[in-house]
Amino acid sequence: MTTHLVVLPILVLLVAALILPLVREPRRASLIGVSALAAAFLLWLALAFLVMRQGAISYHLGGWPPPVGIEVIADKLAVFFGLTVFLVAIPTAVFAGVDMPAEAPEPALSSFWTLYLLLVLSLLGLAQAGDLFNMYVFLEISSLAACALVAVVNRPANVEAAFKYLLLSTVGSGCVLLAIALLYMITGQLNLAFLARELEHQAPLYPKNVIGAGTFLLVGLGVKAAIFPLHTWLPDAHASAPSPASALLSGLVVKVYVVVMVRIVWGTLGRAFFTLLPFKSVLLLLATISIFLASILAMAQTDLKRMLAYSTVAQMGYIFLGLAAGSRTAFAGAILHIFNHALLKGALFLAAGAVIWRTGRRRLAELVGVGHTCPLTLSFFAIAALGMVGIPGTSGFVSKWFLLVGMLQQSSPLLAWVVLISSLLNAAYYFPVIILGFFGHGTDNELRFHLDRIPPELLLPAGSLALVSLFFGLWPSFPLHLAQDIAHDFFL
Amino acid sequence: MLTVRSLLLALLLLSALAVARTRDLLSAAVIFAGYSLIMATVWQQLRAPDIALAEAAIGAGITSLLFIVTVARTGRYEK
Amino acid sequence: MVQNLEYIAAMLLYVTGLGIMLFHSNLIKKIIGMNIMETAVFLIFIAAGYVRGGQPPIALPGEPLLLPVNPLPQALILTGLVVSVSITAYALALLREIYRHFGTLDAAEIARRKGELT
Repeated sequence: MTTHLVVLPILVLLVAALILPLVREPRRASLIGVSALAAAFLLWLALAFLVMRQGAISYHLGGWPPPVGIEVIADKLAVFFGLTVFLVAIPTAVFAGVDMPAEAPEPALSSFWTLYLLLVLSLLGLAQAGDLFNMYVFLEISSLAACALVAVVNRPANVEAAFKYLLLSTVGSGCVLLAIALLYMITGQLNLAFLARELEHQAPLYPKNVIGAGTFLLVGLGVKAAIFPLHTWLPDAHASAPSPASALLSGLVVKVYVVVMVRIVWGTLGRAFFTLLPFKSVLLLLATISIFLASILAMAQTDLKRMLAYSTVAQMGYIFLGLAAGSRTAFAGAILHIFNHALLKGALFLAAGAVIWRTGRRRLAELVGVGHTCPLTLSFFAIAALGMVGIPGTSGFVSKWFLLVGMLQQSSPLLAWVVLISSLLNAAYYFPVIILGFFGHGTDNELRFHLDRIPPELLLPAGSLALVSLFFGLWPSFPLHLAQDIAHDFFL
Repeated sequence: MLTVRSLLLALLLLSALAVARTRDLLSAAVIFAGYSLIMATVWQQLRAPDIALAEAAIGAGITSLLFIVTVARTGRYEK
Repeated sequence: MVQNLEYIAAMLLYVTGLGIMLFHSNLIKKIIGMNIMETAVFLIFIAAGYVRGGQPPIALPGEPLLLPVNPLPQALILTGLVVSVSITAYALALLREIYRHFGTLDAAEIARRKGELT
């Protein structure tokens, strides 16, 4: 029974996702969606408790042992990312229950919930996959579900963005499959643990296959995680998607590919691979360009959600920067930033969604003075935005601090400067929104100050995400220790 | 044996290039159906009968049908 | 050499597919290019599992399998084939909506009209 716990959260979500198309009534559909997520979360907490006490658990699907059978693993990395997923996905689901009927026509709603649960379960599946082909299948589920979530609202911009996203992420999946083929060719294994063992002997004999596999993995996962030259789909898709979908896509979906990359490149390909290919240097360069380019482009945006989307590209750059910096502290900082950025960006998109729900405005120029009509929502936005900039006391500060310390330990002050200067750039586009929102005078808004007339189902999710991230900024020990343990397991 | 396979692969490449060349989307869809059929034969030559069956039914059948329906509902010629 | 033939063909197909995706502005062409690219990857995978002079990996009662080709890549590619069809179907469904909204399937034209919308 205890071992079945490894796959139970995914199964619960899968069953609920398959029932949901039958549910016509939107309120009932959202109720089923949220309760399935809550049930899966409870199971996941039990699993997390087990893993923290006993260490990693390996589950053999159908009782077939690897390398023949499919292995599902629950280690600290999986548990860590799964907790992040649920912390973001549950408030977002509550938000979606009220927000989605306003954004999408009724027939689209039941498919929204199916896709939402499929997306969440594919994220969990990717974090837990112990063999490459299982990973590929979940990769495809996640990209199809994510594209479909963008196009749930049938507006011109959405359909176009979803198509672009679909095309590029399919190319990405193709590259990943090609990498899998190249690795399978020389090792004859798909299971990650067996592949790693086999690769120790085979990598020196067939360096070209390993180099090819690494390159295709970088391109394939790079498209999906929106690293610099391959990020072009992200602003369109994340800005046009309905707000709860944006929170999920920006907060979680792009990051799961980082988890996959850590598992394959750091966990499996290992040392032999890093000597063959300047993987880390390429990643460092691309990440640095990502950070600066996306921050500068974010400043130029006139649309609130588009600005947040560009900020995601920049923040993904920090994560890659930390992974590739070559210091264990920075690696832990990058893993911690996955958690922190997920909560912060979730809060930002939900707060933005609540403001859009209330005022119907999303252009930055029209949002001047919005703090008079939505003071609480804008406060939550401000808390999360401060975290993004990395003001001490917020969770963003903790992960950026670890990135900085790691880079200084590695005696690469140039990279430390990248983190510091780009934080200033972050401030340059987040602060005007907040300052003008609270102190600016809009052209036509009611000058009288009153509390947000926003239903609690919209206000609480944004608020809870912002406050939870603030809590983990002040008392970061739990996620931090987990991230340090993961760095201990994976860092090379 | 070797000649059959090299011939099939050459045909495969030729039809892929033909898809790239043609401006008529309907004929591109039909050539793609032919491409899938050749691919099915290649699978058979590689001793993968189940994939050959699936490719013939799914690739040459359903996918081509979907392409042709879409071309019929949108526009036949590429600009 | 015999196996290399498939690899070379697959690489050429991959490049052709990618070229169609990148250099054609018609969206239907892009989807066809995507399909060609995917079949190229499948070809590499299956060729990796091929054994010269091998038999199909199907056991019949009473007949021992002397030299079967590797069945694992075949099982995996069957999954990949189904995935690629579902993605194609979804992409074509999106295309119909794009055509409804923009009245064209030309990527450059769509970008121009989207600029006018905003």
